[in-house]
Amino acid sequence: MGARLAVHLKDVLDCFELTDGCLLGIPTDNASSNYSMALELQSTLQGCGIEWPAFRNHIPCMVHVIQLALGAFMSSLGVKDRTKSW
Amino acid sequence: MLGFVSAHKPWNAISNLELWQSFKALHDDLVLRSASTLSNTCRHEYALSVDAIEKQLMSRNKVSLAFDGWTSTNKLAITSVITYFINLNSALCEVQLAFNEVDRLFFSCFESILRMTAQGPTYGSEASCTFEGCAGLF
Repeated sequence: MGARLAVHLKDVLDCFELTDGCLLGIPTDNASSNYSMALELQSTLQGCGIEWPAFRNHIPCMVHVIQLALGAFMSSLGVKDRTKSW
Repeated sequence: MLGFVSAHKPWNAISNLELWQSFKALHDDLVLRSASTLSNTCRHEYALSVDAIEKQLMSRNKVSLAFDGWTSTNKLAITSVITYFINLNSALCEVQLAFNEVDRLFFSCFESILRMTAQGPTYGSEASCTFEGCAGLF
């Protein structure tokens, strides 16, 4: 899955000649496929002689991480979710 | 033409007599092109768009990519890729590079992963996606 996403992205990069080392970062959501995509893209670009470290350039969703951390914190305090009224 | 694209109908549907008569009944002055003309027009428009994007990208230095995938209302699996960059005038530019249909199996896996993954793994930990039917894709 991540490999197929990486192939798709590489095709787009090739199509618009963006594989000359100008790729800065890729912000994504926190789906696991995006992590494997970033690692796959890293090795693909490495094969083309371009250094693009995934751990530095892949930017997962920080808001989601904060939300999960807050959820765990609130849960440990025994605070229940407010019931949505809509 | 947009109707054909959004309904995901083949261009040669325009040759269908009933459809042709329906269009004519709605707009008598409507000029209906042949399937090949519609196809060529679409390809020409696409080439022009790609050309315009390439011209915009000529002024970039570094680019960032953002992409996502989803299912459209007509059940097509779509991925979109957008790039962000600062041009020579120091203005933030946003350009859509791709808007492609992907195969359904690919996307059904994608949706399954989104449902199953509360939080994605971090680098250094292995993703464990071994659910039935999708294991061969990883």
